[in-house]
Amino acid sequence: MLRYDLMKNILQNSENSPIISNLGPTSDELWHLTKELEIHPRERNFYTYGSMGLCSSIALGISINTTEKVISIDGDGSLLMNLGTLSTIGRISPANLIIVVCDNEMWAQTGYQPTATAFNTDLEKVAKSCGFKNTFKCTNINEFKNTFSKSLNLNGPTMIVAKTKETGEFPEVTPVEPEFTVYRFRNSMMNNNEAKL
Amino acid sequence: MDKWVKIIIDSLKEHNISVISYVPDISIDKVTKEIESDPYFKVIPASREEECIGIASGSYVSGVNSAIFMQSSGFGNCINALTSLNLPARIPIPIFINLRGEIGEFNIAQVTMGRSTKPILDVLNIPHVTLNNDINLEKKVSGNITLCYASKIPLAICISPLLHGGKIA
Repeated sequence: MLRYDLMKNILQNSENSPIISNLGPTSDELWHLTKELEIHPRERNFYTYGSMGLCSSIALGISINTTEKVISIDGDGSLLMNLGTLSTIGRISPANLIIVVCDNEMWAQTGYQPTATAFNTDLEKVAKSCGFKNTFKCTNINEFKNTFSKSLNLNGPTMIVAKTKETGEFPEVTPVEPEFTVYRFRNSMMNNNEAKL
Repeated sequence: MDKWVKIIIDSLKEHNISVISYVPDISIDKVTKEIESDPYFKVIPASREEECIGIASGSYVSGVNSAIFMQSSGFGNCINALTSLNLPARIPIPIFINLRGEIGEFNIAQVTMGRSTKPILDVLNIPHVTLNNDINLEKKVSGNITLCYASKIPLAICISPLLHGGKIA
């Protein structure tokens, strides 16, 4: 399945939930999708631009302050940099946190080098052994749609490992400044209606 | 409770900092133990200090102020997160760092990172203060947390063994 189609499904079904996206093409495609679906600017999108590995740690920090579902769209290369955060999430056990890993089994943007998930690492099993309440693996988009829809009604933390493929093309970089992302997202989380940006 | 411990906890509350993430340190344990037993705080012990940066940043962007406790060795694990998340995105986090490599240090492996912590903060243009005695302690802690949120970048509050007595070997 393609990451783009997967994220389109997430956007179409998660209402106003906070979504935290991994750096690079994940954040860029998410931004393009808000245009395509005419939901731009989706204030609850938290694009990341660096700090590789921290996408789901940021989502954890958000999840403890809200009862809304919080969705982290992480990547295999990134999560492998910070597997310890799965232990922390398992320990804290936020019921509202859903992590979707777009597992393409490679570092695509740096030249398609295979990551450890192309060999022996199974991120679903790692999450399960860290104490995630629900773990799933999806290999096609229909399976993902069903799993994601089900996950929205489960008590988490939930891990969905989605096996994705690369198209060989990368979209234009998100033009939203990091500072602006933070300002807009934070205002929206704090229900500050004066900041309609 | 030691006076410096109480000042730190009171300053956190004064600035509505209720989410604390940390990787343990034996000297800072005096503070984190109090925090763990105080229902005002939500506490997240992390696997690695860089993760604390993500957790505290997530908390801030969801509207709740958050601080971090670690030792200087762990500060070395945070640098890319600070430079690629907090500095460009303007996310303030007060970071309490127990300084190793100061007087009484007995472990050679702690010396270089401990003594490099403040020069690295300077290169990153991250403001910092060192607590090494009781003089003006309240102003140093609370005033610097005010500065942190005003400048919207992280700020380090370094804690010296001169304040807490150092690690008992």
